[in-house]
Amino acid sequence: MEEEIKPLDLRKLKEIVQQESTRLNLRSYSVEGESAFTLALALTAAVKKIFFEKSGTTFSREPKLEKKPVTQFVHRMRVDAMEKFNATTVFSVVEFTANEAGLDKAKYLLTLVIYLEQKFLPEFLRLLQYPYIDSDSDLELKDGCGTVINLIAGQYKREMAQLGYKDLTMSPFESYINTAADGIGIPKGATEKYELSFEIEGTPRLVVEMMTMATLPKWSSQEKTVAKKILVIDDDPGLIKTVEPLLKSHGYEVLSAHDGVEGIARLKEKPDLIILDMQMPHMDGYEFILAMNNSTGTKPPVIVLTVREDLNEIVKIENIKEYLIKPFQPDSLLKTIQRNI
Amino acid sequence: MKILIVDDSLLDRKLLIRTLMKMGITQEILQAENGEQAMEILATNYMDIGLILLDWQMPKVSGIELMAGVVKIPELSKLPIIMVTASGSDENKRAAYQVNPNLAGFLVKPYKPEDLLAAIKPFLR
Repeated sequence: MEEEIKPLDLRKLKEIVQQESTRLNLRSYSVEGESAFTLALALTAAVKKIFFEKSGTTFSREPKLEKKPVTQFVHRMRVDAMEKFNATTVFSVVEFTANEAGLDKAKYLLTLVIYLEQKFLPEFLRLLQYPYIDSDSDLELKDGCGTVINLIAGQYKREMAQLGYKDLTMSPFESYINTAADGIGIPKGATEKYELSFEIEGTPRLVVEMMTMATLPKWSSQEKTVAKKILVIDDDPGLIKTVEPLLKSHGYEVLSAHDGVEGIARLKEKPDLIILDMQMPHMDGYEFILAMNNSTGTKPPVIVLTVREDLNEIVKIENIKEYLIKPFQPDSLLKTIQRNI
Repeated sequence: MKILIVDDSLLDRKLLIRTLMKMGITQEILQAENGEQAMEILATNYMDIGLILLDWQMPKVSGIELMAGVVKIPELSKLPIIMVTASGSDENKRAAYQVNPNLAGFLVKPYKPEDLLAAIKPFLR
């Protein structure tokens, strides 16, 4: 008789995952790597390449962004689609909702309607390195449009996550060939509509419509902040020289210190956040945090900069909110600061 | 053996499955939308699962969190995991290998079918 293999204890499994996530500080580990609208830009580049190289047609150099009244939206979707494109059009509705967005009454956040002219799809897929979708098959072509559309929507998802919506749900897409569209209603609470279009000789060929709620944060990353104080502690004057103007240009007040001892002295000025190098002479990062934690004064959140592969040590220390491994991108630093200040 | 795909995007899952099938993969495929669902599937099916294709960014429990727990559980720690993520920076890759030094692969979306096949081939039974 075979020995019976018992299922794992699910509760314990969940506990261990939770434990490890906390121990390694993974919940707040931010995934960087792509900037927003990368794909939109890639698509622009791709489309330009196709039209400049193949047909010599002039494709609009930048996408056109327009704000339009919401009432012109989806209820006339099929007609809209026909008007936007002369040829067969595929479009898809992608809806975003959030569970932890502090929007109890209105879970809906954003609707995207993406229109694609079907005949350009094989080129898009090729340029996006999805050659294994067979553009001769109707079914696959429809799915292929979904792929492109989903990739575009994925970029918005990331952008939204960076705006603080951590638990986003992206509805399963449904794409339609223009003969099958029933249209959908206007989402409740929708207040603004933006249209991003890529054109050839004045005719849109790829259009992304965004319908948002007024409560959605501005898409611009240049939001005004009240001047918060950041204390940068690093023995490398080069780093302070680079970081200081960067932070100042984003509206932060910068205090600097060259080692832990100096850092402790500057705590009197009540910084809102500390950026701390772990390896320094006199008093290193560990000693600084110990000293700060034992003091009676202010204990702002700490972002640690490290070159060493000693994350396991670092995550055990109290008060460290996040870490950045050197060399880091200015963008990563700014986003890490925004999350913690 | 079965392959477990963990990804919150329906389309990404469909795409992965389609690619696997086109490459002649006949192993049964299980799907989970996030780390939490993946844990439920793992708890009852771990003995049959021979490979996990894991997305990073997912609601509830993310891929990296799931992996951090999985490597600590004796019954699961030997399970090969390939991360399939759109977040392919060097820093992320390093972090993934730090959490799981035995990580079986790190694929960046959009991936090439050949790369996917090369990554999973050693683990097919």
